[in-house]
Amino acid sequence: MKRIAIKYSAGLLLFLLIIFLSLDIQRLDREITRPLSEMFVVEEYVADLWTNQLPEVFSDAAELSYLMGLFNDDPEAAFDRYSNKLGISNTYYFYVSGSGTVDDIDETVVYVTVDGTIPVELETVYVFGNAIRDASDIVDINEFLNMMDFNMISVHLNRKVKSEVIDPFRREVQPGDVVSFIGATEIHRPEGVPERLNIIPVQINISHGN
Amino acid sequence: MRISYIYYLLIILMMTSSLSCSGARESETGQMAVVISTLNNPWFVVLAESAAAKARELGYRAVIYDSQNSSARESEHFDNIITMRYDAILFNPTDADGSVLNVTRARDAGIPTFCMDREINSRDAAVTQLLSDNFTGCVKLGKYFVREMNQQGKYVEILGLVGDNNTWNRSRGFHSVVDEFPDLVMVAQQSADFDRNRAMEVMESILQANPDIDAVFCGNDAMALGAYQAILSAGKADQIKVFGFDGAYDALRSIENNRISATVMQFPVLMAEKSAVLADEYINGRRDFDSRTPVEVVLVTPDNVSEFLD
Repeated sequence: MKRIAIKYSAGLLLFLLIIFLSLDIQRLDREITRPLSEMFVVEEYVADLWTNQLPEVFSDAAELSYLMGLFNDDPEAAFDRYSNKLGISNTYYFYVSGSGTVDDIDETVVYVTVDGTIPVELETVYVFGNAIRDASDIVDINEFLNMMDFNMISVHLNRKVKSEVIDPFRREVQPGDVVSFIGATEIHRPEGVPERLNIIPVQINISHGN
Repeated sequence: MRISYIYYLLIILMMTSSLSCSGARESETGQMAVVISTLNNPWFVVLAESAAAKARELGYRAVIYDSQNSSARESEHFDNIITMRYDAILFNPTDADGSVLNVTRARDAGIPTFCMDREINSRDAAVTQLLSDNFTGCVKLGKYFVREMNQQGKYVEILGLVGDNNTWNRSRGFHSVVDEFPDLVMVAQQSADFDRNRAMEVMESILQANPDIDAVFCGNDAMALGAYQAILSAGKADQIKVFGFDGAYDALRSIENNRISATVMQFPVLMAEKSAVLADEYINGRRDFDSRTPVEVVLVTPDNVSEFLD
């Protein structure tokens, strides 16, 4: 009897061992819970970007007259040296700088002729999209847990530029003024450079005309 | 005595089987699993078949698994895939959070996962995630919507599956634009789970409570077509503009016929094929992948719809 009991006990233990080795139990919340330390605070991120990182990018903006000449002479070089794009896309983003006279102002844009020859429009209402973020090439998508966090950067940058740069500009500017600006623009490469570039200004200075 | 020997022999065989945990591979040909959230939606059928076709073109055996929008079914598929030791998984998740564990299990078992179209909330569980840039696409749609509506009017939003990050990327992209215009007022917002029939029912009930709306934005074209059906039945097709997302063929035809106002074209074939290519590169040794690869989407309106039709 005793031997049978030992035999069956050993068999049971062996059976339980097999079951244990066959199962892999993991905590359900191991991957799902996002630690507080990882919570993304977009306002802080954008404030740091705007104050500490973007000014250097702005100072390297391509001078518009030079860039337009390069588009004519060597478009490949223009795109390679001065643009950035995100993922699989035909939309290329640039930071550009220029100076010119305000020709007209309508409900949404300020029309400027840069260096007397290049017509552009400075956007003042539809300040949306990823130009400010992606022209800079300093926001790394790999830093973010999901696309929403990454896209909120564009939302907050756009709002900041609209309220701190564009709205005051819009209130003050008049036809005939001379403006100097740095701004972000996008070009859909298959369609080429448009006749009038739409630029979101990130820095503007106004000299009022006589 | 003989029964004891048989008993112990069975125990040994069971131990050997569970300790090896290997499952049988059907052949030495590489194999890729294509796991899709649901094959009940033609858009996802294109995604699945394109991924499988490209995998086969690259020399792999490819099997499509339908999760039927069920996290539990998806987990079962991953159990089988891990047991059968696939070389890679081309994955369209059912849930941004709930699917993370499945991908992590596969990764820990040495099987790389490449997400297609829908993302999981993780930086490193998947090798990379190829995603339509839904947010930016709906920013483009939102700008067009604001212009078409002359910056004023009442509208409705019909959302997709609430557990899908794409639902919220699209909605927030749209609202990041439209909410800046205070004369555009959202009078109702409800989910129809990306389903055409469900959207028709939701639209019918919304119209009863809000008969004087001017537009409806739907999180995908299937829902836009369902909403349009309800609007047409109510005799309001000339009064209410309908906006969708996906670039489905039926929606493009509707735009051409001035029924639906606009949609945003995604490129599922591109995403699916690129996923298979990247999986092949990984299998052959490449390791430098971005955590996410956004794929540009294109706004489609009556002005350019002919470019996308045969």
